[in-house]
Amino acid sequence: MKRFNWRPLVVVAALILAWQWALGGGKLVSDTLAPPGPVAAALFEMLRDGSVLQASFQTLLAALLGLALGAGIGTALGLASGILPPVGTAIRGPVEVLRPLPAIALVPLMTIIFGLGLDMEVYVVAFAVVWPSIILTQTAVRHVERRLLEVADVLELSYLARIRKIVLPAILPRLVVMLRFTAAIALLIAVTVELVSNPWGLGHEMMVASQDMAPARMIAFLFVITAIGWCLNWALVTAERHLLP
Amino acid sequence: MSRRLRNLATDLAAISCLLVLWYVAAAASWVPPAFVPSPVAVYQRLISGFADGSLLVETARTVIAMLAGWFACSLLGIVVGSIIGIWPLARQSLGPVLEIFRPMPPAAVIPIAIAIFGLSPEMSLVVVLFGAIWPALLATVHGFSSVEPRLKEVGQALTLSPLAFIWKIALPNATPDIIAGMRLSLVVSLVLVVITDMITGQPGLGSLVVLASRTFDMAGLFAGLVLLSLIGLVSNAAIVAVERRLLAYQR
Amino acid sequence: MANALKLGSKPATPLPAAPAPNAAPDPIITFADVGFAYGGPAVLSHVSFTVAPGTVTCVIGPSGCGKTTVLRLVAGFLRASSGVVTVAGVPRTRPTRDVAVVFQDYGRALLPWRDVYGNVSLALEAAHVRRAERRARIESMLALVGLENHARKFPSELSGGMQQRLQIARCLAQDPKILLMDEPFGALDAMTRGILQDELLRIQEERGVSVLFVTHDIEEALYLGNQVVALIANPGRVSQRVEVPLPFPRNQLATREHPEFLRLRRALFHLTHGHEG
Repeated sequence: MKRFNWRPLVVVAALILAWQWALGGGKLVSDTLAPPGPVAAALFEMLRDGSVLQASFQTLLAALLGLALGAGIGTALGLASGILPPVGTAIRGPVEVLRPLPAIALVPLMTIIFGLGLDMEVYVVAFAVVWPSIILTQTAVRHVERRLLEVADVLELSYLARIRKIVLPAILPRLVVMLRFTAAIALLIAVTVELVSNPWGLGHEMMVASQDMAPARMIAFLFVITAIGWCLNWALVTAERHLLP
Repeated sequence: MSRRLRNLATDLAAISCLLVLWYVAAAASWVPPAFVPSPVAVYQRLISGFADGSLLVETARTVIAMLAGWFACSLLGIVVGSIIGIWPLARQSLGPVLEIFRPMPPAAVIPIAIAIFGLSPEMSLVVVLFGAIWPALLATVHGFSSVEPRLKEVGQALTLSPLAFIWKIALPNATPDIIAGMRLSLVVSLVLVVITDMITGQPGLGSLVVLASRTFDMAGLFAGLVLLSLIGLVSNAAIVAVERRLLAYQR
Repeated sequence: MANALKLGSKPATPLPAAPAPNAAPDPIITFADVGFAYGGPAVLSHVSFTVAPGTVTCVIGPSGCGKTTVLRLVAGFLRASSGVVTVAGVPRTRPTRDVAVVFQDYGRALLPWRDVYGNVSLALEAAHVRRAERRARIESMLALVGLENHARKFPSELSGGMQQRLQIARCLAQDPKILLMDEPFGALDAMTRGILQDELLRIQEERGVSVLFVTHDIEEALYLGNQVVALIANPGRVSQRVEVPLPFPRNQLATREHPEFLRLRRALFHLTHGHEG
C-alpha cells in the first residue's frame, strides 16, 4: 500500500488560506472577487435552488450531443479510411486545412444559420470534436495487428465482418482513450460557447454572475465547471480500466 | 522526399476538389447564399482587404497577440515545469494540485479576468497567459519527471552537477514532451486570442468575424475564417518542422 | 537439379495408351518455374516442385533463402512475378479459406479479446456456419488438439505450446485442403516441439490434409515430411528435392535413429551448408 501523499493537501490548504488572506480583509475590490467563505456559501445556495443543476444539465446536454455527432462522424471516417486507403488519402488534405480553425470562430456563422440555443452549440462542439476523432481513429486502425488482418484475409471475411469481428474489438482500448480526450474538448467548447454568446448553461451563468457583480457566485461556477470536467474524466478512466484487461 | 511531395500534391488536389464543390454549391444555390458566399467573393474580399491594409491590421494583431502570449506561456511553463518536474518535493506537493486544474476550460478564467481588468488588452494577455500555460507546464512536468532511472544513475556515477544533469540529460529527455506541450499551447493561445477579441471587440480576426456576422457580410466572415485557418495551419507546420529537426534521432 | 526425364529424350518402351488406373493423383500444389521479387533483386528464382495431396512437404533452407516467401505465395498474400503457383489446379491470386495458415508468431495471430472457444469459432463464423452447428465442430476441434479443458481461457492465459495448438485448431476448423505452417514450433522449447510434431502427424493422418511446412531444422523436416524441398539463397532456388521413405507412424526415438534418416540428414546438411550464399 503506497503511503498516503499528504503534501498536495497541505498545498491546497495553503492556497485556500492565501486566498482568504488576500481577499478576506477587503484588500482587493470586493465586487469583482470574493474570498473562500462567500464562495462556499454561494455554492451551497446554488445547489439548494437547483440553478446549478439546470445549467449543468444544459451544458452537458450540448456537450454530449455534440460529442456524439462529432465523434460519431469522425470515428466512421477514421474507420473508413483505415479499411479503404483511398478514403484516407482523399480526406487528408481537407482535414489538415479545416482542423486548425478554432471552433469558437464558427459561433457567429452558426448563430446566423441556427440562431442561439442548443443546435448552434451542438454543431460547434461537433466541429471541434470531429478532427481529433478522425485522426485518433486512423491511428488506432493503423495499429491493428497485421497478423490479424492476414487471418481475416485467409478466412475471406467480408468488409463488414472484418470491421465487426477484428478491427473494432482491436481498436476499442484506443477508442476509449480517444473518448476521454474528445469528451474533455466537448465540455470545454460547450462552456466556451456559452461564455461567449449562448444564453444558457454554466458558461453563461458564470458570465452573468461576473456582469452582475456577484463574484462569489462567479467563482463558485468556476469550481462547478472544473468539478464536472474532473468527474467526467474520472468516470471515463474507470470505464477504461474495466474495459481493458 | 518524393513521397512527401506526392502527398502534398494529392492533398492540394483534394482541397481543390472541395473548393470546386463549394463553388458549385454556392453558384447553384444548393446552400442559401445568405449563409454561404461564393468562394470567388471570399477570395476577392481577401485580396482587397490586404490591398487596402484593413485585413492586414486585423491579421497582424491576431498573429502578434497569439505569438506573444505563446512565447510568454512557453517560457514560464517550461521554467516552472522543469523545476517542479525535477524537484521531488515540488512534484509530490504541486503535481496533484496542478492536475486539478487540467480539466478547467482555459476560457473559464475570462469572467474573472474581466472582473479584475475590464474589457482591455491587459485582460486579453492575462487570459492567454493563464489559459495557454497549462499544456506547456503539464507537459514539461511530465517530461522532466519521466527521466529513466538508469539515466539518473548514470548522472550520479559521472558526478554531474545538478545544472549539468538538467542540461545534458533531463532537458533532452523532456524535449519531445515539451514540444508537444508547446504545440498545444499555441493552439490554445490562438483560440483564446480569438475569444477575447470576440468578447472585447478590440481589433483582431475574432472581432472581425463577429462584426461581419452582425452586418451579414458573409464574404467578410468567411475571409476571416480562412485567415484563421491559415494562421493555425502555418504556425503548426512551423512547429512540426522544428520538431522534426530536433527529434531527428528518433527516426 | 538431378532429375529423371530430360525433355526431348525418347523413352525406351512405348508409353501405354491411357493412364494406369492407380496413377498418382494430381498434385495439390504446384510451383512451375516461379520467380518473385519485391521490385529489386529476385527473392525467388526458377522454383519448381509439387506437393501430392495428403502428404507433408517440408521446405528447408538457411535464413533469407525465401522459404517464407514460398509459403506466402501459396497462401495468396503474394503473387508470383514470373511462373505460376497453382493450388488444386487453379492459379493462386488471393487468400482463400481452404488454404489455412499457421503463423510462427502465434500470439499475434490469435484474437486476444476472445477465449479459446471464441477463437476457433471465428473460422466457422467466417464460413457462415449456423450457430447451432458451430458448437459441435468447435468442441471436436478442441478435442483434436487437446484443448477441450481450456475452452474458456484467454490466449494470454495459455502457454506458448497451447497458443500454437489453438491456432492449429482454428486453422483446422476451416476444414482446409492445405495447411501452411511457417516455422510453427520455432518459438517453443524442445520438449513441446516434439509433442506438437507428433500431434501434427496424428492430425494430418486423421484428416488427410496436405501440409506445406517451412522450417530451418533439417531433422524436423525429415521427421515430419514425405518430401523435403531444400532451398539455397541468393537468389532463392531449389537445390535438392528428396523423397523421405521412412516408415509411418514416425517415432521420436526410432525414426531419428533410422539409418535412412541419418543418411538423408547428412546429405541435406552438406547440401544446405555447402551452398550457403
